[in-house]
Amino acid sequence: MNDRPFSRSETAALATIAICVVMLAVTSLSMAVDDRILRGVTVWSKPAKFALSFGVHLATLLIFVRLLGELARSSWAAAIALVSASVAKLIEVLYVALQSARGRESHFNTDTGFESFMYYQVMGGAALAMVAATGVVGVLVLRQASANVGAGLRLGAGWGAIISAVATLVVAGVLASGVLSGAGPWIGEPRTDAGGLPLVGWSRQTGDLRVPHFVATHLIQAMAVAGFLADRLRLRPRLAVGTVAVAGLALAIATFVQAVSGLPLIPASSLAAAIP
Amino acid sequence: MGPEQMFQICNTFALAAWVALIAAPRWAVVTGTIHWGVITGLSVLYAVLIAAFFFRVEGGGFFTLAAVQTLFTDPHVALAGWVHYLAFDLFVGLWISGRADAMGLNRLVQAPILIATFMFGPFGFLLFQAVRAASALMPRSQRALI
Repeated sequence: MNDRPFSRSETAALATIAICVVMLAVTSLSMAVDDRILRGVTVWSKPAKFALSFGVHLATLLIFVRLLGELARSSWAAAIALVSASVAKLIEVLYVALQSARGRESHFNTDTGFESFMYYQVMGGAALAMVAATGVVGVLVLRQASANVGAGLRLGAGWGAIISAVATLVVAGVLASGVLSGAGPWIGEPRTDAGGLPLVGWSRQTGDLRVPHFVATHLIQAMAVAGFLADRLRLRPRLAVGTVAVAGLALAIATFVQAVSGLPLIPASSLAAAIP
Repeated sequence: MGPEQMFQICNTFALAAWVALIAAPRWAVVTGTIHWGVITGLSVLYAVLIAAFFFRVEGGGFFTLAAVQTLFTDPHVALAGWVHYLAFDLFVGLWISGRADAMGLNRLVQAPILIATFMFGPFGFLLFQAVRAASALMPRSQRALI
């Protein structure tokens, strides 16, 4: 963070990040006292992951907005992007936690009118708002970054935001549509998080669309870091950022194809799978 | 008037106050009515309920969980306990909204914090404490305002 005062929209984003942090703590502690299971794992696994990833994503957007020149930082576009991303994340993090407290699914849940409305209209709208905000912030960084921001960071943050927004829209769109995976992230059987990879919970037995979603969404940080390091190490910014972009997109496509083929990222036991 | 009826009336006033706190402009007449009308009114009712019914409950008290549970078996004392929640949660909500306005926190971000305070008192307070703690990341010149 630099020394410039926070604008109102930056304050909204900072407050939301703080709430994500406290929600990560609350949901993690709840795992210790609540033995209810959803999708084969503790009901608190999903809200904890949401709080963490949304906090990290919004912190990324906030840092990017603070890379902008004064004029762009105080623009309507930046303000609307930050506030809409903040409100969207608050709604999702709190609703996913509420549903876990109730022992019920949040996404793909159309059991009641309320849950159907929250899933399609509210969380669907919130997800689109986050993607749109990410794209807008990316364009602003490319066009109106502050003069003291290096070329690498400008390119990495700007294109990282834009590319990750588009790639996330595609992968999360396929995931949410249920066309390939039905009501959940899995392609094939078993449809459970039990026995999944540590922390992320991705299936080790079948295809899981959360893997390419993760890769696509975190391209924003990977490319920004690549650009930042290019500035520091005096590498050619375009080459460094472009290489990470191509590698990241290739990984996103590869993991997408892998998931769609019904294959896990890391099989539970390669040895056991080899024995018929 | 029975305790069930009083419960409904108290809930209605509290709900109206929360809706105003969450959605209405922060005019002095709004916050003043919540502060001096609803919260103070609920406090008067609480004091009367405690005076009239609290000490009648056999085996009731504050020093074991079982004694507290016994208190709540009496409808009037249970009502008093509920009014206590309503009044103090609303007071905390009012305090949060004042602090949040002072730090320039967007009303759309305030709304979920206030709704959380309305539904689950201390949980909403916890969310706002996180917001206050995060303001330490702001430049020193701005922190003085919060």
